[in-house]
Amino acid sequence: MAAAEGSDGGKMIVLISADGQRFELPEAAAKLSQIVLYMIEDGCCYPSIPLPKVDGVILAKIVEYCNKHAALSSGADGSSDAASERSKERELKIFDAEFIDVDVTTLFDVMMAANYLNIKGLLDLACQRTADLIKGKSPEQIRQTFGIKNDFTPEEEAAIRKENAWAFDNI
Amino acid sequence: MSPRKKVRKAPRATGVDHIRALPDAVLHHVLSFLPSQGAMRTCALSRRWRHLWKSAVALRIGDCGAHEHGLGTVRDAHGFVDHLLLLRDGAPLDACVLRFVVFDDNNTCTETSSLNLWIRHALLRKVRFLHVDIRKDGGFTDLNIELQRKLPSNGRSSAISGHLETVDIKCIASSLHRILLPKHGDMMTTDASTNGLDPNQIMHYATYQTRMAPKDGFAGAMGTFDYYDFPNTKNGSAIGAQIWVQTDQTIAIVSGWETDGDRSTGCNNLDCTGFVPVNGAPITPGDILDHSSGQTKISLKIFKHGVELPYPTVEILVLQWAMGNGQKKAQPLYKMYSSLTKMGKAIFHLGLLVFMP
Repeated sequence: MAAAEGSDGGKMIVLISADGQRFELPEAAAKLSQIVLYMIEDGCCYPSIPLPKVDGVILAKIVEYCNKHAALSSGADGSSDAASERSKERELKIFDAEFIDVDVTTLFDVMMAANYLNIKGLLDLACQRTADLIKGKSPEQIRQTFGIKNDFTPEEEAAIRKENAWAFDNI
Repeated sequence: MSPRKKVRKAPRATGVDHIRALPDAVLHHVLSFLPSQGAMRTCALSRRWRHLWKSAVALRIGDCGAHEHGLGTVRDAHGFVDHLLLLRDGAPLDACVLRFVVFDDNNTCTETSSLNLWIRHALLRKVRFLHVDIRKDGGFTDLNIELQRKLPSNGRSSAISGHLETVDIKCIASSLHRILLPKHGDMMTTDASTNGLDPNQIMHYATYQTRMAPKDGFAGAMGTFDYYDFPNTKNGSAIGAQIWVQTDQTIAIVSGWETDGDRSTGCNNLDCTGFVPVNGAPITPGDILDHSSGQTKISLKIFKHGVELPYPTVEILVLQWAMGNGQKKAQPLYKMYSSLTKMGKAIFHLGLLVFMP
């Protein structure tokens, strides 16, 4: 069996990205992905789990996220008093904010991977970040931010704005 | 932990429509984090985006994050919200956030019915998280927010919605939110932030409250309380049930296992005038129902005893007290004699309370 024991005695899981890179992480961290969790439960995680839809650059980020969140999730180190819970929450919040402060392309790749791997916390984080990038911008600014091509004719766009005039009024 | 491969981030092409690769479901999720108006505006981005907003799984009206100055009135939002609700598709809702200021007292009735209509829409769409925040400068706004309208066909109340997981309702300087139940009652719950308790303490509080009394007044009210074993009850926690009467003036009776601590008026303990515990009562206020011995259910009745008497009696009964052996008792708990001449117009409250420090 290729699954190794980690330094803390917990099982390690190996994930393999689309471009063949290997990532070893504790089972508790890997299980944050619903898909990986099912695979582990079904016993099809040995010697490794191939993830053909996620490339190495992004999988590295995903693994970083899972490791941090698993390590700081409640009860991981046996302490459970309110003060340490709060400080962990703060630490995760800071980690999340820095983690998701990436360029738009990476953001979308992370979002795509989080969706595919079904990591709810990460998907929410990436979607929230995307929403924050949309907030307060005009349609033209949003198109520029995300590289969206406007395929409406000017007449069509005018008609759609008219059709949804409420959206463009200040309420 | 094993060393991770260091991967150098490769520079990537920009200006490409990367967002196009994302499935619709993910974009619906993104739009659900936006205020609904912002989500709707994305219809003008491109053909792909034209209808995406209609499937966003959240309604966020007046949800401008931490900024309160952005709150509008229900009336101002009316046209927009109706447009939104009519055009969005039937996708189930995850969250519904409604935040408003109420300015015009003359319009409260219309505004309340609009709010209730929107909440009903959200409930029909199986909303899981409902947040309603109504602000008002000074004064008292009686906003009845109905969380369910149920025909009293079987005379039984039921859960608000099988899908609702979280209700968070804040009405500053206003009455609380209520869940409409059959007959003359409203269910209402509140949280610590509305009654001045330490916000670090969690207080769940649900009451059933009668509406305005019918013409000939109420004769009484009855409530059955279930008690369940809470495995995680900590020292200092309290779980209580109570029944009380509130007249349109200042008289209130509080009984049960927990006093209504945030009220300055009323009769909050056994010391008040006219309060006479009945001899041989099976339990007295302050007693704890013992789950392990099967004392899990209790019905309380509070009613007017003889309308002809100059001083009507309020009698509080234990009607059914489930014993460990299945035997049920109907026995008076205590009586109260007082000058509750306005009893007929009184509002009855039956409440349950969970308090976790």
